Amino acid sequence: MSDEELMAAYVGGDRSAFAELFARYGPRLQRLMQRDMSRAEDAHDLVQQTFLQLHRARNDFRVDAKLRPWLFTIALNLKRQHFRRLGRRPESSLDAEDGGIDPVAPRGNPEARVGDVQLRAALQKLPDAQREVIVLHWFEGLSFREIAAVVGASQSAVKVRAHRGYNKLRETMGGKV
Amino acid sequence: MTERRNTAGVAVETQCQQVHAIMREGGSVEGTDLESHVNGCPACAELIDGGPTFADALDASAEPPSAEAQLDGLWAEIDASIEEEQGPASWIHSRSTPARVAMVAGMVVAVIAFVLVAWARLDLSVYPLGRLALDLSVLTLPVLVILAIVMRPLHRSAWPRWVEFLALALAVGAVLVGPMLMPAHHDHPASMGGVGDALIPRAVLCISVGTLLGLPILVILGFVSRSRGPFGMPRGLAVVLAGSVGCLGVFLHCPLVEPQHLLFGHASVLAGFIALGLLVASLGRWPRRGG
Repeated sequence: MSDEELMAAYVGGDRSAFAELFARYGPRLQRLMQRDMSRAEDAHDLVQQTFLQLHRARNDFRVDAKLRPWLFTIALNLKRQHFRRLGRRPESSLDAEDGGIDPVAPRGNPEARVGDVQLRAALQKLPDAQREVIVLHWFEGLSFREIAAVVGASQSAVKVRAHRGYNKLRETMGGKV
Repeated sequence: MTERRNTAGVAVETQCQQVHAIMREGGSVEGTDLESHVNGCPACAELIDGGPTFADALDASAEPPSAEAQLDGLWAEIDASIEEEQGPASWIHSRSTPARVAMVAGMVVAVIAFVLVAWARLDLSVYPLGRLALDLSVLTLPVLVILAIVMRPLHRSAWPRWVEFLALALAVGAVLVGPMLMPAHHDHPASMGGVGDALIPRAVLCISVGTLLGLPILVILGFVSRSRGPFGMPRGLAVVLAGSVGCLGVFLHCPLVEPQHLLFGHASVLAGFIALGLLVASLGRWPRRGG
Protein backbone atom coordinates (compact mmCIF):
# COMPACT_ATOMS: atom_id res chain seq x y z
CA MET A 1 0.00 0.00 0.00
CA SER A 2 1.19 3.52 -0.71
CA ASP A 3 1.71 6.06 2.06
CA GLU A 4 -1.36 7.92 0.90
CA GLU A 5 -3.50 4.77 0.95
CA LEU A 6 -2.28 4.03 4.46
CA MET A 7 -3.13 7.54 5.62
CA ALA A 8 -6.55 7.33 4.00
CA ALA A 9 -7.10 4.02 5.78
CA TYR A 10 -6.08 5.61 9.08
CA VAL A 11 -8.46 8.53 8.55
CA GLY A 12 -11.08 5.86 7.93
CA GLY A 13 -10.35 4.33 11.34
CA ASP A 14 -7.69 1.68 10.66
CA ARG A 15 -5.19 2.06 13.54
CA SER A 16 -2.81 -0.50 12.10
CA ALA A 17 -2.28 1.75 9.06
CA PHE A 18 -0.76 4.39 11.32
CA ALA A 19 1.53 1.79 12.87
CA GLU A 20 2.70 0.90 9.37
CA LEU A 21 3.39 4.59 8.62
CA PHE A 22 5.41 4.79 11.82
CA ALA A 23 7.36 1.70 10.80
CA ARG A 24 8.15 3.31 7.45
CA TYR A 25 9.01 6.78 8.65
CA GLY A 26 9.89 6.54 12.35
CA PRO A 27 13.55 5.60 11.79
CA ARG A 28 13.96 8.21 9.03
CA LEU A 29 12.50 10.96 11.18
CA GLN A 30 14.61 9.88 14.13
CA ARG A 31 17.70 10.23 11.94
CA LEU A 32 16.49 13.59 10.64
CA MET A 33 16.00 14.91 14.17
CA GLN A 34 19.10 13.37 15.66
CA ARG A 35 21.34 14.78 12.96
CA ASP A 36 21.19 18.21 14.62
CA MET A 37 20.73 17.25 18.25
CA SER A 38 23.08 16.17 20.94
CA ARG A 39 20.37 14.69 23.16
CA ALA A 40 18.64 11.54 21.96
CA GLU A 41 15.66 12.33 24.20
CA ASP A 42 14.98 15.55 22.28
CA ALA A 43 15.03 13.75 18.94
CA HIS A 44 12.82 11.02 20.38
CA ASP A 45 10.38 13.62 21.68
CA LEU A 46 10.21 15.44 18.35
CA VAL A 47 9.53 12.23 16.43
CA GLN A 48 6.72 11.48 18.86
CA GLN A 49 5.32 15.00 18.41
CA THR A 50 5.56 14.67 14.62
CA PHE A 51 3.36 11.59 14.61
CA LEU A 52 0.96 13.13 17.13
CA GLN A 53 0.66 16.20 14.93
CA LEU A 54 0.08 13.96 11.91
CA HIS A 55 -2.67 12.23 13.87
CA ARG A 56 -4.24 15.58 14.86
CA ALA A 57 -4.06 16.86 11.28
CA ARG A 58 -5.55 13.68 9.80
CA ASN A 59 -8.77 15.42 8.78
CA ASP A 60 -6.76 17.93 6.76
CA PHE A 61 -5.30 15.16 4.62
CA ARG A 62 -6.56 15.08 1.05
CA VAL A 63 -6.45 11.86 -0.90
CA ASP A 64 -4.76 13.58 -3.83
CA ALA A 65 -1.94 14.96 -1.63
CA LYS A 66 1.44 13.32 -1.10
CA LEU A 67 2.03 12.25 2.48
CA ARG A 68 5.82 12.39 2.57
CA PRO A 69 6.16 16.18 2.12
CA TRP A 70 3.41 16.59 4.72
CA LEU A 71 5.27 14.50 7.25
CA PHE A 72 8.64 16.11 6.65
CA THR A 73 7.12 19.60 6.78
CA ILE A 74 5.62 18.83 10.19
CA ALA A 75 8.92 17.37 11.36
CA LEU A 76 11.01 20.32 10.20
CA ASN A 77 8.54 22.86 11.60
CA LEU A 78 8.67 21.12 14.98
CA LYS A 79 12.44 21.01 14.82
CA ARG A 80 12.65 24.73 14.05
CA GLN A 81 10.22 25.49 16.88
CA HIS A 82 12.34 23.38 19.21
CA PHE A 83 15.51 25.33 18.45
CA ARG A 84 13.62 28.62 18.50
CA ARG A 85 12.32 27.78 21.96
CA LEU A 86 15.84 26.95 23.09
CA GLY A 87 17.06 30.14 21.45
CA ARG A 88 19.88 28.54 19.51
CA ARG A 89 20.87 26.99 16.21
CA PRO A 90 20.82 23.28 15.49
CA GLU A 91 23.76 21.56 17.07
CA SER A 92 26.04 18.81 15.91
CA SER A 93 26.20 15.48 17.65
CA LEU A 94 29.89 16.38 17.84
CA ASP A 95 28.80 18.77 20.57
CA ALA A 96 27.42 15.93 22.63
CA GLU A 97 27.83 16.44 26.32
CA ASP A 98 27.85 13.89 29.07
CA GLY A 99 24.68 11.91 28.91
CA GLY A 100 24.13 12.73 25.26
CA ILE A 101 24.71 10.61 22.22
CA ASP A 102 28.23 9.54 21.60
CA PRO A 103 29.67 11.17 18.55
CA VAL A 104 29.25 9.07 15.47
CA ALA A 105 32.20 6.91 14.66
CA PRO A 106 32.76 7.40 10.95
CA ARG A 107 33.94 4.54 8.82
CA GLY A 108 37.38 4.03 7.43
CA ASN A 109 40.91 4.83 8.43
CA PRO A 110 41.96 7.67 10.79
CA GLU A 111 42.65 10.06 7.89
CA ALA A 112 39.23 9.45 6.44
CA ARG A 113 37.77 9.88 9.89
CA VAL A 114 39.29 13.35 10.19
CA GLY A 115 37.78 14.22 6.80
CA ASP A 116 34.39 12.90 7.86
CA VAL A 117 34.47 14.95 11.02
CA GLN A 118 35.46 18.02 9.01
CA LEU A 119 32.61 17.47 6.61
CA ARG A 120 30.16 16.89 9.43
CA ALA A 121 31.25 20.15 11.03
CA ALA A 122 30.97 21.85 7.63
CA LEU A 123 27.45 20.51 7.23
CA GLN A 124 26.52 22.03 10.57
CA LYS A 125 28.02 25.36 9.56
CA LEU A 126 25.97 25.62 6.38
CA PRO A 127 23.11 28.12 6.49
CA ASP A 128 19.94 26.40 7.74
CA ALA A 129 18.24 26.78 4.36
CA GLN A 130 21.08 24.97 2.54
CA ARG A 131 21.58 22.30 5.18
CA GLU A 132 17.89 21.41 5.25
CA VAL A 133 17.81 21.01 1.49
CA ILE A 134 20.93 18.81 1.44
CA VAL A 135 19.66 16.64 4.26
CA LEU A 136 16.34 16.15 2.49
CA HIS A 137 17.94 15.66 -0.95
CA TRP A 138 20.91 13.45 -0.19
CA PHE A 139 20.11 11.72 3.06
CA GLU A 140 16.34 11.41 2.87
CA GLY A 141 16.04 11.04 -0.89
CA LEU A 142 13.24 13.54 -1.41
CA SER A 143 12.72 14.95 -4.87
CA PHE A 144 13.21 18.67 -5.44
CA ARG A 145 9.46 19.00 -5.89
CA GLU A 146 8.91 17.47 -2.46
CA ILE A 147 11.68 19.54 -0.91
CA ALA A 148 10.16 22.69 -2.39
CA ALA A 149 6.86 21.80 -0.75
CA VAL A 150 8.55 21.05 2.58
CA VAL A 151 10.59 24.24 2.82
CA GLY A 152 8.07 26.50 1.10
CA ALA A 153 10.26 27.63 -1.78
CA SER A 154 10.28 27.17 -5.53
CA GLN A 155 11.96 24.14 -7.10
CA SER A 156 14.57 26.34 -8.75
CA ALA A 157 15.34 27.98 -5.40
CA VAL A 158 15.92 24.68 -3.65
CA LYS A 159 18.07 23.45 -6.53
CA VAL A 160 20.24 26.53 -6.16
CA ARG A 161 20.46 26.01 -2.39
CA ALA A 162 21.49 22.38 -2.93
CA HIS A 163 24.09 23.32 -5.51
CA ARG A 164 25.60 25.99 -3.26
CA GLY A 165 25.53 23.72 -0.24
CA TYR A 166 27.23 20.80 -2.01
CA ASN A 167 29.73 23.22 -3.46
CA LYS A 168 30.66 24.55 0.00
CA LEU A 169 30.99 21.02 1.35
CA ARG A 170 33.28 20.04 -1.50
CA GLU A 171 35.38 23.14 -0.88
CA THR A 172 35.60 22.18 2.78
CA MET A 173 36.94 18.80 1.82
CA GLY A 174 39.46 20.45 -0.51
CA GLY A 175 41.62 17.93 -2.29
CA LYS A 176 40.13 15.02 -0.39
CA VAL A 177 37.32 14.58 -2.88
CA MET B 1 17.02 -2.82 -14.54
CA THR B 2 17.49 -3.72 -10.88
CA GLU B 3 15.42 -1.64 -8.50
CA ARG B 4 17.70 0.75 -6.65
CA ARG B 5 17.22 1.58 -3.01
CA ASN B 6 18.49 4.49 -0.96
CA THR B 7 20.12 4.35 2.48
CA ALA B 8 16.70 4.18 4.09
CA GLY B 9 15.90 1.08 2.07
CA VAL B 10 13.27 2.92 0.08
CA ALA B 11 13.05 2.35 -3.65
CA VAL B 12 14.47 5.31 -5.53
CA GLU B 13 11.91 7.19 -7.55
CA THR B 14 13.53 10.25 -9.05
CA GLN B 15 16.47 10.72 -11.37
CA CYS B 16 18.32 12.55 -8.57
CA GLN B 17 17.90 9.51 -6.37
CA GLN B 18 19.12 7.25 -9.17
CA VAL B 19 22.23 9.41 -9.50
CA HIS B 20 22.78 9.21 -5.73
CA ALA B 21 22.40 5.44 -5.80
CA ILE B 22 24.94 5.10 -8.63
CA MET B 23 27.37 7.36 -6.76
CA ARG B 24 26.99 5.30 -3.61
CA GLU B 25 27.77 2.18 -5.63
CA GLY B 26 30.84 3.89 -7.10
CA GLY B 27 29.42 3.76 -10.61
CA SER B 28 29.26 6.35 -13.35
CA VAL B 29 26.38 8.02 -15.13
CA GLU B 30 28.38 8.45 -18.33
CA GLY B 31 26.63 6.91 -21.28
CA THR B 32 23.42 6.36 -19.33
CA ASP B 33 20.11 8.16 -19.69
CA LEU B 34 20.94 9.99 -16.44
CA GLU B 35 23.71 11.96 -18.10
CA SER B 36 21.26 14.52 -19.48
CA HIS B 37 19.68 14.83 -16.04
CA VAL B 38 23.04 15.61 -14.47
CA ASN B 39 23.68 18.24 -17.15
CA GLY B 40 20.45 19.98 -16.17
CA CYS B 41 20.63 19.50 -12.41
CA PRO B 42 23.28 21.71 -10.76
CA ALA B 43 23.04 19.82 -7.46
CA CYS B 44 23.67 16.42 -9.05
CA ALA B 45 26.42 17.93 -11.22
CA GLU B 46 28.13 19.16 -8.06
CA LEU B 47 27.85 15.71 -6.53
CA ILE B 48 29.18 14.01 -9.64
CA ASP B 49 32.14 16.41 -9.66
CA GLY B 50 32.89 15.30 -6.12
CA GLY B 51 32.84 11.68 -7.19
CA PRO B 52 32.22 8.54 -5.12
CA THR B 53 34.61 9.77 -2.42
CA PHE B 54 32.39 12.76 -1.85
CA ALA B 55 29.32 10.54 -1.66
CA ASP B 56 31.09 8.29 0.81
CA ALA B 57 32.26 11.23 2.89
CA LEU B 58 28.77 12.70 2.92
CA ASP B 59 27.22 9.47 4.13
CA ALA B 60 29.91 8.91 6.72
CA SER B 61 29.78 12.51 7.90
CA ALA B 62 26.21 12.34 8.99
CA GLU B 63 25.73 8.70 9.67
CA PRO B 64 23.47 8.68 12.68
CA PRO B 65 23.79 6.58 15.77
CA SER B 66 21.67 3.46 15.47
CA ALA B 67 18.30 5.02 14.88
CA GLU B 68 16.36 1.82 15.25
CA ALA B 69 17.71 1.32 18.76
CA GLN B 70 16.42 4.76 19.72
CA LEU B 71 12.92 3.86 18.61
CA ASP B 72 12.38 1.14 21.16
CA GLY B 73 9.08 1.78 22.82
CA LEU B 74 8.36 4.95 20.87
CA TRP B 75 5.44 3.50 18.96
CA ALA B 76 3.89 2.32 22.22
CA GLU B 77 4.21 5.87 23.59
CA ILE B 78 2.65 7.38 20.47
CA ASP B 79 -0.14 4.83 20.47
CA ALA B 80 -0.84 5.54 24.14
CA SER B 81 -0.86 9.30 23.51
CA ILE B 82 -3.31 8.87 20.65
CA GLU B 83 -5.45 6.69 22.88
CA GLU B 84 -5.49 9.48 25.47
CA GLU B 85 -6.63 12.00 22.87
CA GLN B 86 -10.31 11.43 23.44
CA GLY B 87 -13.05 13.84 24.42
CA PRO B 88 -14.41 17.13 23.09
CA ALA B 89 -11.11 19.05 23.14
CA SER B 90 -9.36 16.41 21.04
CA TRP B 91 -12.33 16.23 18.71
CA ILE B 92 -12.19 19.99 18.16
CA HIS B 93 -8.47 20.29 17.45
CA SER B 94 -8.58 17.36 15.05
CA ARG B 95 -11.18 19.08 12.85
CA SER B 96 -9.97 20.25 9.46
CA THR B 97 -8.21 23.60 9.31
CA PRO B 98 -11.09 25.40 7.52
CA ALA B 99 -13.44 24.16 10.25
CA ARG B 100 -11.07 25.34 13.00
CA VAL B 101 -10.64 28.73 11.34
CA ALA B 102 -14.43 29.02 11.11
CA MET B 103 -14.70 28.27 14.85
CA VAL B 104 -12.26 31.04 15.78
CA ALA B 105 -13.74 33.51 13.27
CA GLY B 106 -17.20 32.62 14.54
CA MET B 107 -16.15 33.39 18.11
CA VAL B 108 -14.66 36.74 17.03
CA VAL B 109 -17.92 37.60 15.26
CA ALA B 110 -19.92 36.46 18.30
CA VAL B 111 -17.89 38.69 20.65
CA ILE B 112 -18.26 41.70 18.36
CA ALA B 113 -21.98 41.01 17.83
CA PHE B 114 -22.49 40.73 21.58
CA VAL B 115 -20.84 44.13 22.14
CA LEU B 116 -22.81 45.77 19.34
CA VAL B 117 -26.13 44.33 20.47
CA ALA B 118 -25.85 44.50 24.23
CA TRP B 119 -22.94 46.75 25.08
CA ALA B 120 -22.38 49.18 22.20
CA ARG B 121 -20.77 52.57 22.78
CA LEU B 122 -23.35 55.29 23.41
CA ASP B 123 -21.86 57.78 20.96
CA LEU B 124 -22.10 55.65 17.81
CA SER B 125 -24.77 57.93 16.36
CA VAL B 126 -22.46 60.97 16.49
CA TYR B 127 -19.13 59.25 15.75
CA PRO B 128 -17.82 60.60 12.41
CA LEU B 129 -18.34 57.88 9.82
CA GLY B 130 -14.95 58.30 8.15
CA ARG B 131 -13.11 58.13 11.45
CA LEU B 132 -15.19 55.14 12.51
CA ALA B 133 -14.24 53.34 9.29
CA LEU B 134 -10.57 54.20 9.88
CA ASP B 135 -10.56 53.07 13.52
CA LEU B 136 -12.39 49.84 12.72
CA SER B 137 -10.14 49.04 9.76
CA VAL B 138 -6.99 49.66 11.77
CA LEU B 139 -8.17 47.48 14.67
CA THR B 140 -9.56 44.70 12.45
CA LEU B 141 -6.52 44.32 10.19
CA PRO B 142 -4.21 42.73 12.80
CA VAL B 143 -7.02 40.39 13.84
CA LEU B 144 -7.26 39.05 10.29
CA VAL B 145 -3.50 38.89 9.74
CA ILE B 146 -2.79 37.12 13.03
CA LEU B 147 -5.70 34.76 12.51
CA ALA B 148 -4.15 33.70 9.19
CA ILE B 149 -0.76 33.18 10.83
CA VAL B 150 -1.80 31.29 13.94
CA MET B 151 -4.21 29.02 12.10
CA ARG B 152 -1.66 27.98 9.46
CA PRO B 153 -1.41 24.22 9.88
CA LEU B 154 1.90 22.63 10.77
CA HIS B 155 1.96 20.55 7.59
CA ARG B 156 2.33 23.75 5.56
CA SER B 157 5.77 25.29 5.37
CA ALA B 158 6.16 27.92 8.07
CA TRP B 159 6.26 31.58 7.24
CA PRO B 160 9.52 33.33 8.05
CA ARG B 161 9.92 34.50 11.62
CA TRP B 162 9.85 38.15 10.58
CA VAL B 163 6.23 37.76 9.45
CA GLU B 164 5.29 37.02 13.06
CA PHE B 165 7.20 40.05 14.31
CA LEU B 166 5.55 42.18 11.63
CA ALA B 167 2.12 40.98 12.76
CA LEU B 168 2.99 41.78 16.37
CA ALA B 169 4.14 45.25 15.31
CA LEU B 170 0.92 45.65 13.35
CA ALA B 171 -1.15 44.76 16.42
CA VAL B 172 0.79 47.17 18.63
CA GLY B 173 0.69 49.92 16.00
CA ALA B 174 -3.05 49.48 15.55
CA VAL B 175 -3.86 50.22 19.19
CA LEU B 176 -1.53 53.25 19.15
CA VAL B 177 -3.22 54.92 16.16
CA GLY B 178 -6.24 56.07 18.21
CA PRO B 179 -4.21 57.70 21.00
CA MET B 180 -2.04 59.47 18.43
CA LEU B 181 -4.96 61.09 16.61
CA MET B 182 -7.15 63.96 17.73
CA PRO B 183 -10.28 62.93 19.65
CA ALA B 184 -12.87 61.74 17.14
CA HIS B 185 -15.50 64.15 18.44
CA HIS B 186 -16.77 66.02 21.49
CA ASP B 187 -20.42 65.76 20.61
CA HIS B 188 -21.72 63.32 23.20
CA PRO B 189 -21.76 63.69 26.98
CA ALA B 190 -20.77 60.03 27.43
CA SER B 191 -17.54 60.69 25.55
CA MET B 192 -16.34 63.32 28.01
CA GLY B 193 -14.02 62.49 30.88
CA GLY B 194 -11.73 59.60 31.46
CA VAL B 195 -8.80 61.94 32.16
CA GLY B 196 -7.40 63.61 35.24
CA ASP B 197 -8.65 61.96 38.43
CA ALA B 198 -10.87 59.64 36.39
CA LEU B 199 -8.00 58.38 34.24
CA ILE B 200 -7.04 55.37 36.30
CA PRO B 201 -10.51 54.20 37.43
CA ARG B 202 -11.93 54.47 33.89
CA ALA B 203 -8.82 52.88 32.40
CA VAL B 204 -9.08 49.95 34.80
CA LEU B 205 -12.70 49.48 33.83
CA CYS B 206 -11.85 49.39 30.13
CA ILE B 207 -8.91 47.06 30.70
CA SER B 208 -11.28 44.73 32.54
CA VAL B 209 -13.88 44.89 29.76
CA GLY B 210 -11.27 44.36 27.01
CA THR B 211 -9.72 41.44 28.87
CA LEU B 212 -13.14 39.91 29.39
CA LEU B 213 -13.91 40.22 25.69
CA GLY B 214 -10.55 38.70 24.72
CA LEU B 215 -10.90 35.69 26.99
CA PRO B 216 -13.43 33.76 24.83
CA ILE B 217 -10.96 34.02 21.95
CA LEU B 218 -8.21 32.70 24.17
CA VAL B 219 -10.42 29.78 25.19
CA ILE B 220 -11.45 28.83 21.65
CA LEU B 221 -7.85 29.13 20.47
CA GLY B 222 -6.85 26.80 23.30
CA PHE B 223 -9.34 24.26 22.00
CA VAL B 224 -8.54 24.49 18.29
CA SER B 225 -4.74 24.68 18.67
CA ARG B 226 -2.99 21.43 17.85
CA SER B 227 0.09 22.51 19.73
CA ARG B 228 -0.61 24.15 23.05
CA GLY B 229 1.59 25.62 25.72
CA PRO B 230 1.53 25.14 29.48
CA PHE B 231 -1.95 24.74 31.03
CA GLY B 232 -3.42 24.14 27.57
CA MET B 233 -2.79 27.79 26.64
CA PRO B 234 -2.41 28.77 23.01
CA ARG B 235 1.09 29.95 22.17
CA GLY B 236 2.63 33.21 21.02
CA LEU B 237 0.67 35.23 18.53
CA ALA B 238 -2.54 33.40 19.39
CA VAL B 239 -2.51 35.21 22.73
CA VAL B 240 -1.93 38.49 20.90
CA LEU B 241 -4.93 37.71 18.69
CA ALA B 242 -7.12 37.50 21.79
CA GLY B 243 -5.74 40.87 22.91
CA SER B 244 -6.45 42.46 19.52
CA VAL B 245 -10.04 41.24 19.64
CA GLY B 246 -10.30 42.60 23.18
CA CYS B 247 -9.12 46.00 21.93
CA LEU B 248 -11.62 45.92 19.06
CA GLY B 249 -14.37 44.98 21.49
CA VAL B 250 -13.54 47.70 23.98
CA PHE B 251 -13.42 50.28 21.18
CA LEU B 252 -16.97 49.32 20.21
CA HIS B 253 -18.04 49.50 23.85
CA CYS B 254 -16.34 52.53 25.41
CA PRO B 255 -17.48 56.00 24.28
CA LEU B 256 -14.50 57.86 25.74
CA VAL B 257 -12.38 59.53 23.08
CA GLU B 258 -9.53 61.25 24.92
CA PRO B 259 -6.10 60.00 23.72
CA GLN B 260 -4.88 59.47 27.30
CA HIS B 261 -7.77 57.13 28.02
CA LEU B 262 -7.32 55.30 24.73
CA LEU B 263 -3.67 54.72 25.61
CA PHE B 264 -4.06 53.63 29.22
CA GLY B 265 -7.50 52.05 29.01
CA HIS B 266 -7.62 50.48 25.54
CA ALA B 267 -4.05 49.89 24.37
CA SER B 268 -3.22 48.40 27.77
CA VAL B 269 -5.58 45.52 27.02
CA LEU B 270 -3.19 44.35 24.31
CA ALA B 271 -0.19 44.98 26.57
CA GLY B 272 -1.74 42.66 29.15
CA PHE B 273 -2.24 39.87 26.63
CA ILE B 274 1.28 40.31 25.25
CA ALA B 275 2.60 39.97 28.82
CA LEU B 276 0.54 36.80 29.17
CA GLY B 277 1.97 35.49 25.89
CA LEU B 278 5.51 36.14 27.11
CA LEU B 279 4.72 34.33 30.35
CA VAL B 280 3.40 31.31 28.44
CA ALA B 281 6.49 31.34 26.23
CA SER B 282 8.85 31.48 29.21
CA LEU B 283 6.99 28.66 30.97
CA GLY B 284 7.25 26.64 27.74
CA ARG B 285 11.04 26.91 27.91
CA TRP B 286 11.17 25.03 31.19
CA PRO B 287 12.49 21.55 30.71
CA ARG B 288 9.79 18.96 30.68
CA ARG B 289 9.92 16.14 33.16
CA GLY B 290 9.03 12.56 32.49
CA GLY B 291 8.82 13.03 28.70
